[in-house]
Amino acid sequence: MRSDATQYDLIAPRSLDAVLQILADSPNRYAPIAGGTELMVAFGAGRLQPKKLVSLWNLSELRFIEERPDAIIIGAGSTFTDLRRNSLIARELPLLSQAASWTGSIANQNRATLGGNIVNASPAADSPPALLAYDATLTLVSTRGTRSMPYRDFHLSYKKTALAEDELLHSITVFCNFNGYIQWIRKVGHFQGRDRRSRPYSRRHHRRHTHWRRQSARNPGTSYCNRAISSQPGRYSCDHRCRTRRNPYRSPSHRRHSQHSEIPRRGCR
Amino acid sequence: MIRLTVNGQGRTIEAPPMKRLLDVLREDLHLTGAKEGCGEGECGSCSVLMNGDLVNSCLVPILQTEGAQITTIEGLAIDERLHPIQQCFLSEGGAQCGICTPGMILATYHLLERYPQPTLLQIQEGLSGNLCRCTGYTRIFNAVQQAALAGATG
Repeated sequence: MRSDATQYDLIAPRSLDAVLQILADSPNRYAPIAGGTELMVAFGAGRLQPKKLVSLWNLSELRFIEERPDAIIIGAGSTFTDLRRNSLIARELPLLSQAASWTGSIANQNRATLGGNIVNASPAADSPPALLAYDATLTLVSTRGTRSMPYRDFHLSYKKTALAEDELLHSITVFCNFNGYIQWIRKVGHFQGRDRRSRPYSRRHHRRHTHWRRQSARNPGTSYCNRAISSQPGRYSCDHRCRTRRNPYRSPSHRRHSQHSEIPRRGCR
Repeated sequence: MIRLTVNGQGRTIEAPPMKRLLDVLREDLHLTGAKEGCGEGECGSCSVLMNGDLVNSCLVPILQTEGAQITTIEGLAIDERLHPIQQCFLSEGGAQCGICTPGMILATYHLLERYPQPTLLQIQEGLSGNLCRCTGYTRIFNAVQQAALAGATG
């Protein structure tokens, strides 16, 4: 059954300091809510435990992406759309950019925040593997001050984190020293590299009509040729003459299996 | 008291701060275009534009819309004439029962704003959060392509 909105309170202070003060004054009583893609689901289902919430949505102190000479600092309130549209992240942190594109649908990416994804501590979240691979550092704030900790120490167990009651996740720092590394990421249980429910084709159609683009310096990732159509609306097969070859895989599971054995080859290149 | 702009009109809402934007639109403002499907952000039938971004209105507490610009399906038609995207959905048969259609059209609007000539993959990704149980999607994709060809950018 749905929750009764009159039983809940939500406040939206205008600054981070005001939020921290509220958390310090009444520990345990106020729960932070940012984009609401997790807590509002619980609210809708009538199982949201905290009755008092404090909104972090759109606080400018938490929504930023900053470049330092040796690191990239991402505010915890940055949405996945912010991450996807940021050219710095796309260039320097492709794993995170890719993971952001896998997180939920466009509407959810417009609201869900990276900080929320981390603090929610779901084992099914998309962004943590990328951040763990980058060995990111978290900055936590409270009225008592600021502390940093390696992200790998943050998750204690299922849905348990090292965050104190009065603390907020402020930002995520990734130190960029990836010279000599090859970055590669894959999502388990995936079709054609993204979470897509609007999948109208049969597997046979998929094999016949999707093309596989050769890997090259300009195309480091794996992608199907998608310069399809537009000249002939209603026709979905690829009708241009680019130098692609047909999808060599018999099925999605065959593709996944084959790609596993590709990883060491790429690493030795 | 929460002030926001809905379809270009300034509105003042008196509601509990945790009331969902979807309920405010439907119950307080009587804009019933946005539908409640799943109520948990999976189906997209409650999609609206909030400051130009597509959001699931079932997951937005009304307090977070303070000062925001909300566009619903009712705000898309101009002077009682259908928006070109709506026209294309009609002519291509991109709607059957109609529950998903307001969300589909707003998702298309949001997609074409960013990619005026989207590829099929971009269309599929742009509509990936909108579920339709009638059309099988093919006619919807055709409608989006027609809208793009007709130059129906947001």
